[in-house]
Amino acid sequence: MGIVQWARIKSPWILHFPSPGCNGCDIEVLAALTPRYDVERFGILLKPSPRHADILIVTGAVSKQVAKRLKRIYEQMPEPKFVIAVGTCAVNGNVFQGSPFVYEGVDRVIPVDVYIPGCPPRPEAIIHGIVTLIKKIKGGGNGGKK
Amino acid sequence: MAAKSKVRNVPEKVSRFLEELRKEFKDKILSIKVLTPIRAEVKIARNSHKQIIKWLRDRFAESSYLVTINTVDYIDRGDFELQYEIQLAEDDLKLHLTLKMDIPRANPEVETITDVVPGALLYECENYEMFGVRFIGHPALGKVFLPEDWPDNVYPLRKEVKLIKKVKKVR
Amino acid sequence: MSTISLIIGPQHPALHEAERFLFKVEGETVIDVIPRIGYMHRGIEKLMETKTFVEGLYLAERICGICNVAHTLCFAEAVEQAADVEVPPRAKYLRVIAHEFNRLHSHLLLLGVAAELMGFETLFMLFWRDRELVMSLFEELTGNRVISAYVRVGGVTRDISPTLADKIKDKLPKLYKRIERYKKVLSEDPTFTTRTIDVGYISGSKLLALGAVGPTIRGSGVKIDLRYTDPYEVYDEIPFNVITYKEGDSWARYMVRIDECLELINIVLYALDHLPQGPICTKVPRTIEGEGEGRVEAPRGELLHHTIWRGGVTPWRHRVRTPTYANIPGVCEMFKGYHVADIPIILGSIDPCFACTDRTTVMLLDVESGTKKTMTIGEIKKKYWRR
Repeated sequence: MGIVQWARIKSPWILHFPSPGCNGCDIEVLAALTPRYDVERFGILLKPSPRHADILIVTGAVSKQVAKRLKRIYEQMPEPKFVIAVGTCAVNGNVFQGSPFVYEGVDRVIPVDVYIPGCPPRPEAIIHGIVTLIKKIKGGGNGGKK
Repeated sequence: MAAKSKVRNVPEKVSRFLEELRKEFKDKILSIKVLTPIRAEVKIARNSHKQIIKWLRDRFAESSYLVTINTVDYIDRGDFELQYEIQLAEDDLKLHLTLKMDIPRANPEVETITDVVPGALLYECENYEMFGVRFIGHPALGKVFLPEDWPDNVYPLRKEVKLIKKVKKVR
Repeated sequence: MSTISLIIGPQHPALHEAERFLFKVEGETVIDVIPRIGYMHRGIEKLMETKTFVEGLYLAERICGICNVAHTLCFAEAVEQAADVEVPPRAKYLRVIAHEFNRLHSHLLLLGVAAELMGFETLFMLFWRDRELVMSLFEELTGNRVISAYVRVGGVTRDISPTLADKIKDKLPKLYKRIERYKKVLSEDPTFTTRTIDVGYISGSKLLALGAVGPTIRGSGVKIDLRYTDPYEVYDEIPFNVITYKEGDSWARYMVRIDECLELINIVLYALDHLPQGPICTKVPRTIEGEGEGRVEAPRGELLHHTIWRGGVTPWRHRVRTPTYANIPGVCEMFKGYHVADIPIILGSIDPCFACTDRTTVMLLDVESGTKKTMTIGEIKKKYWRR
């Protein structure tokens, strides 16, 4: 393991992209950052800009309107980049399946590394998802380029 | 049933107000239906909505607001039904009015009420893009909700537009 | 002075109705705002036409996860009215309890985010710590932390046990004391007051014309609260005060929320004390013919579900009007004349479902001096993409 890899595992910074879901997942991602669950103890920080982020957390179903922006934000992130789809809407569209305005899952738009099902997933599940991703990075995963 | 029995004890102030409304607009009001003590449905003649809403807003300037504008597509009747929902919220006169107005489906054009109620701006835009109801005199009738690349003459909430895909059930 | 166009969004923490705001700025002062909403459009009203009321309830719940009880309650009320079904009294009281819990967590969430927006991280963490207490009680009551599926058409899904009722009665007064302390902080601490007092002022009559609802309008001294103006469920039996503030600035809108937190704890305790015995659910026929309108006071303001059934198992038309949608014209007026730095605080004060800690992403466009120019996202992309 090189020093870059080591540093990457110790402090993955996340960018949260709230795409049109119901906010349930968004507040659970946020709850994971606050005192009771405190994801910062793993060195995980929430960043407002895609240029600083390693992990893109996408919550909610991706609407046609927002897909272009999501793609653009993904392209703005520096390599290597990882994507976590949080919640059933981001995994497969959930109740919005069949709507002409919604993609069935984030993976129709950008590559996804970890899926966290649940509507909404509990903060513990989100933390577990991030830890799973960290393990994946340790094993030499390299984002969308597999 | 219990829900219907509520209609009996309509407060005097409400019934007096509805009587007054009927007197003021006479033939423009086709029917008034009291649903609950605090809710009434008023069927109005075409193109009289602006007048009535202006009168209501002038009378209850400090205690009334437009809740929403809604369109219902009655494809079998060949009509759109426009519903203007207005809440009167005085301390002793609480009433939720639904003004219903039929417009022909072939030529859905009505006068805008944005100059009387500026809050109607977004609602009119929404009804335009979803149903194709044209509001004459609206300052900026355009897309609010639909994607930018949505075709111009497809109004998604109309009944003849079939958009919903069948979802495959996975077991 | 030259005018600059400033785009905020759409990757933007205003969640359930993520808008893009285009601000026209002169120096530091906002002179005009053009909103573009619809990034969150999922076609729910069209989808609703293909669903029975059992399925539709779950779809209605996912319109907004933060105020999900308000949405299910509103949907259920509309369908019950259309089917002409009366809900048993115990279910009505339980609905009120769940609804008020939902409001409590939503208000604490917003107040925390508001503190975070002005850089008051400590208060943010404190609010969110106390919110976890509400969440765990809510989980015990309904079975889930956020999306609860508690209300169903015809009643509620779970009964409350006496042990849980005692637990709530024990925990909530403690929370009441903590919220009173936070109220003191919000009304006295200069970190909060200097950023909010006299920021984003708007008069009540202007807001009425623009159709604003909820705490936004109550912060301008207008006494409109559906629990009082159009009492649903058992709100006509429960004594409570409608909170209004006359100031009409951002501070007043935040204070309305914290006072409501205190008031609703009293409502929950009263409802628990006066909980009638009996069944918690009734049967509703599958096919419905009729028209119903559910209106409830969601945490952000008046919520409306209007449903029209013409026989059959699916509605002919289902209309939803969410509170933030009604507040957008109002908030656009509020921005005018205030500084760019006040934008997040004013936007936060209407509670546009802010739930994310990251701030508004601001793209500043350079504009040739003296000429007014606005650009769409596509144009920006073309021009700045390769840099």
